[in-house]
Amino acid sequence: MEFGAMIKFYRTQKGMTQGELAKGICSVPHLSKIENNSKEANEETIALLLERLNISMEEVEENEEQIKFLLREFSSHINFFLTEKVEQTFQKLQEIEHLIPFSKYIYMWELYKYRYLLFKGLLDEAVQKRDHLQKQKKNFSQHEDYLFRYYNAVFLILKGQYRQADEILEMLYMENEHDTTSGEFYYHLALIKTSLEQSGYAIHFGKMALQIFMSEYNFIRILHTLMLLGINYTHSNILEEAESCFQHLIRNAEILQEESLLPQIFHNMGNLQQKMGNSKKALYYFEKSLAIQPAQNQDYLVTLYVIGELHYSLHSDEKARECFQEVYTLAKKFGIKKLWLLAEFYLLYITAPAKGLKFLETRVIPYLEESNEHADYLFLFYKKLADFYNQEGKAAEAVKYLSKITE
Amino acid sequence: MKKLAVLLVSISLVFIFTTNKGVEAPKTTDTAAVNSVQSIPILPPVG
Repeated sequence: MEFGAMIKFYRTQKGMTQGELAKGICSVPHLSKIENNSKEANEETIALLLERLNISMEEVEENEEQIKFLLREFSSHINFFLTEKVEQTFQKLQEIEHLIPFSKYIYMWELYKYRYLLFKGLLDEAVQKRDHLQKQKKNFSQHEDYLFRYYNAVFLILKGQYRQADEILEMLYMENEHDTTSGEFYYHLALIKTSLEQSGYAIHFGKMALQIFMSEYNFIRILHTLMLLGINYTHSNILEEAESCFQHLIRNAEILQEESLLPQIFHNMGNLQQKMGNSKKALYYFEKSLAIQPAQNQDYLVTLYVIGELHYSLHSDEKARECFQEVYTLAKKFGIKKLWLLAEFYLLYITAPAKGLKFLETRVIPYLEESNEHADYLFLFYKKLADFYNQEGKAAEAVKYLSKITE
Repeated sequence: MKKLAVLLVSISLVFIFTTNKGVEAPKTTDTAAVNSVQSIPILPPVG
């Protein structure tokens, strides 16, 4: 406990001068040094000063315990993804915020405020908090420094900057000699690897996260991890495992009152069915997902786009066109460039294939190559262009795109 | 003369071993990935 700062705080709050407080207890310069923490006062002096301020030592110790308890609770609620409890505990902490600077948890509280903003997805405010913490970094303990770097990685995940996030987590993982008991850490690592389409690693870390979450009976995070595993099993063609993950999710999301996950589960189940060659079943799951999604968010657009592609592959051009038209309009409105480019490509391609392919070559492919993601999509489009040039008898162009596939 | 012959043989052997690595096998890619409609997953919450 920082007694000096606390004495100064209450003395000022009560409108007392240093002379009034110190009278008969210690000299004014001595009190001044105590308040500035430049001198260790003995317990007796502290007790007398607190008594004059009407604060009991017991109360001070209770406050410290309370802060410690609430911070632990807060961290635990985040790990268990208990959204409402996170909110309640954060509010309780805010109520005693004025006491925290006198405790040893001052930086921890600031770090947890950063974590709270990330949990709530308030990225603009999180940037401010991060910059503020950056200035305090030199004062952090080893554990606080670890948390700061870890939270920065979470921030990057939320911003979609997976490579940078991956670098930080890999570094932390190495520093800890590949040993952590945090399911959250493995979960975030698996999430990054999924986004980078490194399914092997994603499955490895996902399983480690699952093991820890299961030992903690962390049911919500178990669902989230199963979803990651299902996605990566699908990507790696381990289809039976993927199907059992999604079936388990569909059964348990309702039991655990996590219905908000259902649209995502149905969408990913649709992907799996598509990969298994069951187009009708895939369409059923995608449409089921779309029906319960709040319209006009990014997930809705992704599902609608995939339905468009599926209709196109089933030769239902008119239905495909309707989907792509809606995706194009909404994606433009929200500024989601990848989806509007892809939708525009299909709209052109359905009516005039040659025009569509030109657009693919000049607009879509450069964008996807630059964004350095969705290698699978690039393969599909390279193949499309190679086939087109092959039919046209333009061997050099065809070879160019085929060689891009094997690069 | 004999030394020169040995030297020439060594140089040519080094040359052969360093240049004749053979044609690298093309990297394979998932054939399903180039032939089918792609999947875009929806990820669970970051938290």
